[in-house]
Amino acid sequence: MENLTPVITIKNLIKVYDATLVLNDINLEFYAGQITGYIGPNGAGKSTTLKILIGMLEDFKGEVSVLGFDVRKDAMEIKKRIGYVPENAMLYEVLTPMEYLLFVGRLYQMEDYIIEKRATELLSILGLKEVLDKRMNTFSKGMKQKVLLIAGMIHNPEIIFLDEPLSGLDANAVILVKEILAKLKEAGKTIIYSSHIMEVVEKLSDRIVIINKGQVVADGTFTALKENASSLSLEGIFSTLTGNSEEDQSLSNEFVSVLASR
Amino acid sequence: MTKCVLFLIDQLQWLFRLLKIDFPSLRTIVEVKMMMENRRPHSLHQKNAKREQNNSFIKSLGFQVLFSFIFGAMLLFFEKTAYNLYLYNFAFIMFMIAFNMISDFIEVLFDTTDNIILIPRPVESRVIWMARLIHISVFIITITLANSLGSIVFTCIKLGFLAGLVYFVSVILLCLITIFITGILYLLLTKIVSGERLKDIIGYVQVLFSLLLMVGYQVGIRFVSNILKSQEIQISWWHYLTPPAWFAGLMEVVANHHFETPYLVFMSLILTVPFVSLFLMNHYLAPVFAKSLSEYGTPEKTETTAQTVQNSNILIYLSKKCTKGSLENAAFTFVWKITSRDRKFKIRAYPVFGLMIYYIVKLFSNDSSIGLNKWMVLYYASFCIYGVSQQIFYSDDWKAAWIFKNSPIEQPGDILYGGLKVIIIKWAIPTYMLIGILMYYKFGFEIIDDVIFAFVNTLLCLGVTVSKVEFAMPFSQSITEQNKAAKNFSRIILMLLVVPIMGGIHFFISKVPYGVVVLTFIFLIIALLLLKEYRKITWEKIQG
Repeated sequence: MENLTPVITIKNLIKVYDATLVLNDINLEFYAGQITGYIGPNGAGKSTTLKILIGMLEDFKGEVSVLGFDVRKDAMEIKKRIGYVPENAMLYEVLTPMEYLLFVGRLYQMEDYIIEKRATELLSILGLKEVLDKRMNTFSKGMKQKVLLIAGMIHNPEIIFLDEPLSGLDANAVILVKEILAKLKEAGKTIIYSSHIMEVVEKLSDRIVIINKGQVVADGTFTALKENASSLSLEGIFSTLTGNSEEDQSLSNEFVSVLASR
Repeated sequence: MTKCVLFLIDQLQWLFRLLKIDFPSLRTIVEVKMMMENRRPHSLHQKNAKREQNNSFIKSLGFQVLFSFIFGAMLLFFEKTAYNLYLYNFAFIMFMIAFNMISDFIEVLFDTTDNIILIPRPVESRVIWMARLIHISVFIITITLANSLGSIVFTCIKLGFLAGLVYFVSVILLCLITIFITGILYLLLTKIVSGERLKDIIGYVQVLFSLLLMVGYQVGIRFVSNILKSQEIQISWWHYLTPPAWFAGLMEVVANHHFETPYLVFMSLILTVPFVSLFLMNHYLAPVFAKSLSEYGTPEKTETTAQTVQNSNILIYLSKKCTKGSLENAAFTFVWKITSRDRKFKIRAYPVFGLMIYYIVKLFSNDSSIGLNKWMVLYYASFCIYGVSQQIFYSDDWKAAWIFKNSPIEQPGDILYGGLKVIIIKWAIPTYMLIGILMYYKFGFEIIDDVIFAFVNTLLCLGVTVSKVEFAMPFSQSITEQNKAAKNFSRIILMLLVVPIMGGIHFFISKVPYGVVVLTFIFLIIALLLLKEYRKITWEKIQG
C-alpha cells in the first residue's frame, strides 16, 4: 500500500461551522482501487468530509487534494473526474429518469447518444426499464435512489463518493449494488462511502475509517481493527470507539423500565 | 388563534358527542393542526409572508382587512334596493372563499401525509375527517371574515348594528355552504379521475380562478357602477340556485322589510341548506372519505398512475437549433420541460396573462380608449414575460439543485443563458406573434413595426437584468424565499420604471418618421449584446 501514490490526500483538515468544530484535524490518504467505508455516528462529520472532497465546501482549513488537484483551486478538474451520490438527495421529480440523466450527463459535457445508451442500459439493469419514461414524482425512495446512483456514475468517474448509498433500497437491490461496487473496484475505481449498516461495511470494505466528533478514531482493514479493539464484530468496535457499550446497557434497561412506569 | 379555536370546540363538545365523535382525540388533532397551520405560508398573499414565521397568517389577514374596506365601501352608495349590490358583494366573497379553498385548503382536506401518523393509532377515521373539516372551516372562516370586515362595518353604518350582525352570520353560513359544495365537487372528481391527473385538474382550476380574479378586479368596477344606476330588482330562476342571491335577499329583507315569496324562499334556503349539507356530509361523505383514506397514498396505487412522457420532436429540434454547447442545451431542455409540467410554476406564472386577454378583448370592442389599449396590450405582454422569466428560479424541488454545484460547470452563465432562451422562444416570440396577428386584423400592416419594437423592448428588458448583483440557477430557490421583501421591491421598481419608460420612448418615437424602424435596430443590437453578457456570469455571482 505504501508504494502507491495516494489519489486523495487530506492534511490537517479543520472545518468550523457556526463556531462548532465539525472536523478536527483529519489526516487521511486514500489509494486507487480501494473501497473505503467511512463510518461514524450522526453528526460525526462524514458528510462534511465528503462534501469537502468533492469541492462543494471551500471554506475549511488544511490541505486537501484529489487526483493531484487542490480542491480549492481546481475544483472543476476534480468534479469532472469524480462521481457523487449524496444522502437523501432530491431530484427534479417532474422529469423522467431518462430526462434527468440526460440533463446530468450534459452537465458533464457528454454526448447525447452516449448518455442515452448508458442510461437506458443502466436503468434496465437496475429494474427501472418500465418506468424509463414516467415522471419521478410517484417513485418510491428506492427507485429514486437507483436513479441517483446512476446519475452519480454515468460519466464513468475515477473516484466515486457515496453517502448512504443503500438507503431505501430493498434487500435484492442492496445485494446488486454491493456487487456493482465490488466490480467497480476490480475495474480500478476508488470508492469511498458512508453507511450505517455495519454488516455491509464489514464485508464490503478494504479499509474502514471510523470518525467520531470530527476526529479519526480508527483506520485500517477490518482484521486490523479487530486485533486492536478486541471485539469480533464491527458493530462492537464501532460502539466501543464512538459510544459507550456499558452505558448503552444501562440506557436500554432504563428505557424498558420507563415504559412500564406510572 | 389556537386557544380561541380550542375554546370554541370545547363549547361545541355536545354537538360532537351527538355525532358520536371521540372528543379528546379530536381536540388533540385539531390543536396540532392549528399549530402547524400557523407555520405554513399561504399562496394567496405570499408577498407578505416571511419564511416560516409564526405570524405570517396574521400579516396576510391584515392585508385582506385593508382590502375589504376598499371593497366594502361600495355598500355605502346604494340608495333604495340593497339586493343588487349585496348580490355582487356576496358573489365576490363566495368567489374568494372558493379561491382560498382551491388554492390552499382542498389539499388539506384530502391530504394523505398524516395518514402514516394517524392511521396506525387508535383513532377513528370519522374523527380524522371531522378534524380536517374543522381545520379547514376555521381558516376559511377567518380569512373570509377578514375579507368581509369592511363590508360588515359599512353595513352597520348604513343599515344599523342588527343588519351588521345578520351580515356577519351570513358570511359564516356562506363559508360553510361553499366548503360543502367544493368538498362534494372534489369528491366527485376523485371518483372520476385519480392521482396525478386529479392534481393537474386542480392546478388548472387554480390557474383559471387566479385568472378570473385578475380580470374580475377590472371588470368588477364597471359592474358596480352599473349596479348603482339600476334600482330594479330582477330575480331570475337561477338566483334560487346561487347562495349569494339567498343572502342578498336576506339583506334586502333586513334593509327594506320585504316579505314577498322569493325572499321567504331565500330565507328558508339559508336556514336549511347548511344544516342539510352538514348532515349529508357526515352521513355520505365521511364513509367515502374513510375509504379514500385507506386507498390513497399507498405506493402500489400511485406507481400505476405515473405519467408517461412522450418525447417531443419539436423540443429536440429547437434545442439543437437554438443552443450552443451541451451546457446550454441541457439548461434549455431542462427549463422547457419543467415549466411545461410543474403545476406550481403554472399557477405562479400564468394568471398575470389574464389581464392581457382582457385588454385584447377591449381592443376589439371599439372602445373610445382604443389608442391606450394598444399600448396596454403591447407592454402588458412585456410585463407578463418578464414575470415568467423571474419564476423559473423557483421550485418545490429546489433542493435538487445540488447537482449544479456538483457538476463540472465552468461557466454557470451558459445555464442561465439557456434558460433565457426558453423564455424568449417559449413565451416572448409566441406572445408577440399572437399579438402581431391580432393587431394586423385590427389595424392592418402598418402596426407590425410597433409590435416588433415592443418585442425588441421586451428583449432589452430581459437583457438589462444582466446587471443584477446576484443570480440563481433555474429551479434552485425555494418558493418561500421568494418572499424576501427586497427582491420583490427591486422587481416592482424595475417593472414600474423600465416598462413605462420603454412604452414612453415608443410612443414618442412613433411620431418621428422611420423613428421606430431605426430604434428597433439599435435596441435589438443592444439587447442581443446584453443577453450575450449572461454567458459571462461566473460562480461568484450565483447565490447559494
